[in-house]
Amino acid sequence: MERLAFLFLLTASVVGATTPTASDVVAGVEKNLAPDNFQALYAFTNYRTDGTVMNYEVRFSVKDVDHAHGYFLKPEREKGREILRLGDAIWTFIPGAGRIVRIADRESFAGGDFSNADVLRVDWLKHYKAQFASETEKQWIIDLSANSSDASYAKMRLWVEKKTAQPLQQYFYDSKGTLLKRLLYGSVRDFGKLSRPARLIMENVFTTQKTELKVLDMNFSVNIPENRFFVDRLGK
Amino acid sequence: MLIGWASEMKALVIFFLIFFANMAVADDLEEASGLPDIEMDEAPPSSSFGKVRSYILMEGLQRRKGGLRQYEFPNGEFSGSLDYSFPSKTDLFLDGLLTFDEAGDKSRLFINQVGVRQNWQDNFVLAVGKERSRRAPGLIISPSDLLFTLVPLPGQREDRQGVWLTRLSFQQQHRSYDLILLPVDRVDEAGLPGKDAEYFGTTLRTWHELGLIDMGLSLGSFDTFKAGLALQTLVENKWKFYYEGAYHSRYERLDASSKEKAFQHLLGAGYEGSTDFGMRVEYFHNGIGFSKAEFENARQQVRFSSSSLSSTAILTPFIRQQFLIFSANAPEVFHRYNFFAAIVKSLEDTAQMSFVRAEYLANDWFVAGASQLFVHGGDESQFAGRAFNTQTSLDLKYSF
Repeated sequence: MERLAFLFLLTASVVGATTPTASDVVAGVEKNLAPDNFQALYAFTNYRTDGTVMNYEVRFSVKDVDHAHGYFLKPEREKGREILRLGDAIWTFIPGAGRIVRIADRESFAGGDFSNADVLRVDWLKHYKAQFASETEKQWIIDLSANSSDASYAKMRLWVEKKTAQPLQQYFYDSKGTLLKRLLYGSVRDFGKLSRPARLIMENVFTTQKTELKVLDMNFSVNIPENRFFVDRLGK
Repeated sequence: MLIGWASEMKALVIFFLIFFANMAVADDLEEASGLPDIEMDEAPPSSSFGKVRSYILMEGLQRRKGGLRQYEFPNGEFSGSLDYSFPSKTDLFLDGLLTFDEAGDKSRLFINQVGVRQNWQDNFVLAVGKERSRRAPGLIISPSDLLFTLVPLPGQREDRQGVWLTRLSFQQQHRSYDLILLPVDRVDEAGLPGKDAEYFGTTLRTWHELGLIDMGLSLGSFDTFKAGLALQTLVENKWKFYYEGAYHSRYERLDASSKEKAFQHLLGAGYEGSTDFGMRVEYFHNGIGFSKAEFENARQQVRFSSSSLSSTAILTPFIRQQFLIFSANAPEVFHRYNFFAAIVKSLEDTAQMSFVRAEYLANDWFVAGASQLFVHGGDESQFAGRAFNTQTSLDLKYSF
């Protein structure tokens, strides 16, 4: 199976007759992690330091970075909860009260170590400037520095494997350069239209708590109706 | 002093941990290895039965007033809902409830919602049946919502009761328009149209997202004319501010008196900037309520009682005209506990209701909860005739 991101980078190299720029590499990773128009089943496992383990399963319908809808399948006590991202606005449906509520874009998705932006808004080049920090024989190491106040982090560092154009590791820093979180990627899996890491582990450096995200399936041959992203369709 | 020393030591240790952690990674330009490949779980098959939710709830209550104690155990509830979408863009929905009330020693089946929705060209919807749709921001009362004004306090009993309607909607991403015909003005014990039910009214409802502000406007022609307006905004992604207003051309009150051209106003602010806690404060001016003189007069004819208050359903806490409402919540404390507290305080007399609740998230299916409701109020207050001073409830819910 052709890898979309790899082709993207190859094309960039051939057309430019040079090695890809840092932005080219990041654009390829973005296209893989957050393509347009797909449905996916994500499983989140929050490992807390006191031994508590919480499992969530969310079915996402994504049109683009500004339009994403999630339906909670697990745990059973949360089943039916919905979340809708429309640009910067986030709405949720509370099934127990049959109520739609606009909520703040909080730092944590489903109580874990991924933020809403980490899960639903992989549009780094819109908010960060990319430049190579280093390059080895097998990997590019790219620094992404925030160039807008909307960015979730002041800086990110991304490790990308040259051979596959897949991300391997990502660090997240605040404005003082303090490392906040570490993200490891692995288990690259073929989902038909593209290959991407299917297993991600985000670690909070301060609390040492971790959240594992598994991409259980991705389906690109879907026709997501426009009204899936209407606020009034939540819960219906 | 010992505590202060311990805090300083803790801060010092954290400082060094962060310092050395960053020393280790600040210039980390080594190759990364990523995660080792493992066998991935297969995705479970999608349900062919549409969206299904159900739960069983057991509850025990104790109400106290002076030396009098009243117990109710067991109260039970079984709830099930199904939402099925056909490829033809037709949705069927059913949401029912089977309850057992120990005090009345009876069980009953209740239809929360049932009906069919037909979608056209993504933007048009025709719904026929019994349906619920709420969006107003008020915590306990939403005067701008002409159909679902009162909101239950948090608890494990779900409140998804709809109204019988025919709804024609035009919807887009940032706006919607609803024409709602309400053919039934009363329902029976099962939530079905009552025997003597008559046409209730017609409502026009619209919602717009105007940049940073969400606006909802409702106009209702019932036996009187009503209008509702809701505005809300989020500032710095932390602070929520909102206003709800309602106009009643005439409002029939409990003592059969009526109020002409009355307004209700709800002004609210909330903090949502933390995943660990949230807060709300609201001021409610209830223009359809009783002034002091009116209340004194009405008390001669009607006995205002709070016997209908429970941990999950507050039917008439707003008899007078001015209230302060406050709530605080702390979700997933120590990962397994939810806490909630709310106070409704009359600004005209000594009436006050306080509610605290704790929940334990035992696992994916079971949640155990405990609630305490306190009702205060002197002889002159709207809660003077209350049936109890405190209500304690314990509940256990199994979701599947």
